[in-house]
Amino acid sequence: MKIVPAISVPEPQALQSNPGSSGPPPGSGGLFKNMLAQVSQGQRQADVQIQQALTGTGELHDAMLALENANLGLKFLIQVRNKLLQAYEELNRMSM
Amino acid sequence: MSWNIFPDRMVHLLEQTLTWRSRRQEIIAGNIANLDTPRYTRKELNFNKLLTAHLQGVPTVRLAATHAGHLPGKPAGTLGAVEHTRNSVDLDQEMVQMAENQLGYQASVQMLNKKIDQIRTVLEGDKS
Amino acid sequence: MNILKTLDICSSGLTAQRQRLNVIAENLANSHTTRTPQGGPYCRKHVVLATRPAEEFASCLEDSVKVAVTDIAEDRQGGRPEYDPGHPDADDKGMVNYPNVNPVTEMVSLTLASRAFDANVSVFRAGRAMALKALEIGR
Repeated sequence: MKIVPAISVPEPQALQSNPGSSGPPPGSGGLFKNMLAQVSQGQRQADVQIQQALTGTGELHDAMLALENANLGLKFLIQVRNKLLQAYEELNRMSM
Repeated sequence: MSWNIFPDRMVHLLEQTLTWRSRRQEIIAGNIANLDTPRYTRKELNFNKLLTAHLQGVPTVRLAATHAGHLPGKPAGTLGAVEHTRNSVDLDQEMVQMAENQLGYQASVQMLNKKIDQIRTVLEGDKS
Repeated sequence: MNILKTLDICSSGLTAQRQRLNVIAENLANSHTTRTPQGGPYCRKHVVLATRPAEEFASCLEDSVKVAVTDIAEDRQGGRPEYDPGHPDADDKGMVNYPNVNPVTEMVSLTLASRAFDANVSVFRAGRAMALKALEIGR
C-alpha cells in the first residue's frame, strides 16, 4: 500500500468543515481528536507494511518509510499536546 | 486516505523511485543469472522512461504488451514496463547498469533521509 | 521484500554455475576413462540451462526469471580412437576408444562458468548493499 500525501497540518479554516467533530462546536478539541485518529491510522498502516515486509509480499523500504511516518506523526502529536497543555496552563494562570 | 506527515510530493516520488530501482535490480539479476542460457534475450526496465512518464502525469506506463491479462494482486508500480529486447546478455553492460542502479537506490535513500531530517528538526527544534 | 527475490535469482545462478563446474570437473577427471559400467568409454556430459519463473504461477513474460539446470545430457558425438594394441581395452583392430573430452574446450567452459559465477556474486553483493541502505531510512 502506498502512502498517499494527505493534508498534513489541518488549517484553521478546515475546522469549520472538520468531519471529526459532530457534537460540540469545532475547537481545538475536535482538531486534536481528528489528528489522533489520523496518527492512529498511520500506525495501523505501518503495522500492515511491517507484516508485508516480513512475509515478503511488500518492499522493505515501504515498511521503513511507513514506520518513520508513524513515528514522526506520533512526535508531532506529542508536541501539539504539549503546546495545548502549556496554553491551558497559561490561561489558568491568567485568570487567577 | 491515511496520514502522511510529509507535505510535499517529492517524498512520494522518492519512494516510487525506490520501488522502481528495486524492480530493476531484480530484472538485471535475472539477466545475469541467465548469462549462459541458450536463446535467452535480455529484459530491461528503463528507469528514465518511467520517471519521465511519472513526472508528466501519465498514470500507468504501458509499453507494447504482448501478453494478455495480468494476475491480480501484483504490485502496480511497474506493470507493463518490463521490455523484452532481442539482444543477448552482454555481461559488461549488465554490470554497469547494476552499479548505476545500486548507486541510484542509495542516493534516493540518502535524499529521503534528508527529508525526514527536516521534519524531525521542525518537531524537535534543532536538537541535533 | 523484493530483495529476497533478487537474492533468490542470484542463488539460482550460483547453483547453476556450480553444477556446470561439477560437470566440467567430471569431464576432465574422466578424460581418459575407457571403462564404464555401461560399457564403452566415458561420454562427455554437458549441462542444459533453462529459465524458470522467479515466482510461482506467474507469467514468464512479465516477471523476472531465474535459471535452472534442466538436464545433464551426454554428448555422444566424436570419440578419439587411438592405436594401442597393448591396452587391455583394445578391440581386435588394436584401436582403443578414448572419451570425446577435449581439455581445451573444457578449460574454456571452466573460465566462462567461473566468470558467470563471479557476476552472480556481484549481483548478490549489490542487492545486499541496497537492502542495508534501505534499513538506514530514518537514521
